[in-house]
Amino acid sequence: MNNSVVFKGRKRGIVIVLDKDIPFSELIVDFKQKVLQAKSFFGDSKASITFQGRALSTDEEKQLLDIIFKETGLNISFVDNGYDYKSLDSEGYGYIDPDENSTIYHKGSLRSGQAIVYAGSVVVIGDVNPGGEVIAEGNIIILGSLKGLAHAGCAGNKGCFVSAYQLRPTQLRIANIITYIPKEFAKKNKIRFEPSVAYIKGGQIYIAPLV
Amino acid sequence: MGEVIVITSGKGGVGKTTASANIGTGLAMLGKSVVMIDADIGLRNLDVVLGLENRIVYDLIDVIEGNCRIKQAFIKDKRYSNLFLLPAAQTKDKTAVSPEQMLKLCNSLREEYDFIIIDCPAGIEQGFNNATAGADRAIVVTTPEVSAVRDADRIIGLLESKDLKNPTLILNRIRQDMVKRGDMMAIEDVTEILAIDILGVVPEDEAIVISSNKGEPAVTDDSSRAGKAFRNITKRITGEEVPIMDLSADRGLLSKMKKLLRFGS
Amino acid sequence: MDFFNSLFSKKASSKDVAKDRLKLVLIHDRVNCSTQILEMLKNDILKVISNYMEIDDDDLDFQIVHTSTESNENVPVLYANIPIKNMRKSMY
Repeated sequence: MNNSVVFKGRKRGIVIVLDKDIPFSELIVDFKQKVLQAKSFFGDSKASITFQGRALSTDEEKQLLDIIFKETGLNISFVDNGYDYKSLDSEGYGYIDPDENSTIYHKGSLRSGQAIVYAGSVVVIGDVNPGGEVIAEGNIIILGSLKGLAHAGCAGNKGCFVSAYQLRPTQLRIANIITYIPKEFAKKNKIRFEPSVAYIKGGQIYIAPLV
Repeated sequence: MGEVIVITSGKGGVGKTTASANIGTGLAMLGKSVVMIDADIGLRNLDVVLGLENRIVYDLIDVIEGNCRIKQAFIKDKRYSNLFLLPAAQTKDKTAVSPEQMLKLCNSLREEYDFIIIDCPAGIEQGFNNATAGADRAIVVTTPEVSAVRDADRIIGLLESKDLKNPTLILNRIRQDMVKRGDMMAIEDVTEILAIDILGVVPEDEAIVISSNKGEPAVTDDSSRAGKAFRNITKRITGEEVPIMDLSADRGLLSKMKKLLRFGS
Repeated sequence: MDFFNSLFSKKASSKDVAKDRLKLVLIHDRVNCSTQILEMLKNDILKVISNYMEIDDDDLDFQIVHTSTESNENVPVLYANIPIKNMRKSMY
């Protein structure tokens, strides 16, 4: 059994794990074969697709998607390349929620002991104080200071991001990665807490300025 | 076989959490294996006083609800590898735990660790019942103020009715200058009223505020008087006999110098 | 005279005031906290009294109150108001 292409059904779409070592020309053959085998798996529903395991160029990605378009009745609403995090170029951030109804807005600050837990993305218009928690399956956007805990992609989506005007969390989690900014480190490196975004790249959480 | 000690007071703000952090750390400094449990669910504090707040992943409720194994929820201390914190949940309420569950937890920890220190929430409601459920002995913290002593008396009564006989007392935030002036109750005044044995006296000390700002318990600070008081307390807990600290010792000299300076200016 | 006394006599230190107040408050607290015991005491007393008299169970008043005595300003007192219906004649 060839395992260069693996399909996984997830709650909000299909995850396709690609082998990163074999040449693309071989991969695309395997891919087409797998798609044909798995026609029934796709059905003709609306779904989002996430590629994982391998960096794809825009062209390669298009070729793979074309195969799915041609061979299945799948209506692809969204494509997420989970391996190559594209968020930092002009294309926008990696994981944009496919379902337009799955973002909630919270107006006001979250104080210690308050928590938002949501199976989608969360926008907080206010601060998240130490002891406050935002836990989301999607992205977390805080129009204020994040001083408490944020957990984006809590169901395992590594393409999710956390952004805030001031990103100085007690603890930060994306998917299954947990981190914090040690006080000494922040002091030593004179970290300025400016509008920032945190995302996963190569198995680590990175923080980059938003502007 | 380890010992489970609950640190309680009735009134809030008298230094339960500070005492718990310092006693736990102090025992670890003596080489004991220690687990500190923050039983103040919904108002957790012990983690920040110890400077461990950014390492919390699981908490007491997760352990009790079986979302994780006990040791997954343990946070190892920065300084002492034989010291662990089991943090309280911040976003749940205290009805999530029952006294029976706490008893079970304490009994399983007792097998493996020398001391289990439980930081009890203020009040006499369910949080208090949970925190005391698995305890072998109790330490009551009070300050020399009428409200705190009154609540301590109430707590001592409740502890005795729970078969936690002979609790011992920590008298916290004593200011020797005020005691001398007759404006603060002295150790003897408080023990006379409460009629329990004194475990230790802790002087009011700026180092306590500074150390909790930094997340480093004062007991690790050699120059702090409060730290010394807590080192003595931990030694007494392990059975060593240490005389109660003479609070007037260097404070007298300091105030004399202050007086001199004021006189000169 | 009182005026002079308050001027010249040594004022009680605030610590002593605190201690005295605490002692009183605690007498109150310690007595008050045992409603269960009070209930048991009531039943026992009624049992004994019932041996000698018929009493009105509905109109009982049984509580701990604070009164001043000559020697002490504020002491707790067990106060019982037990209306008697009749003496038990059979006793005689």
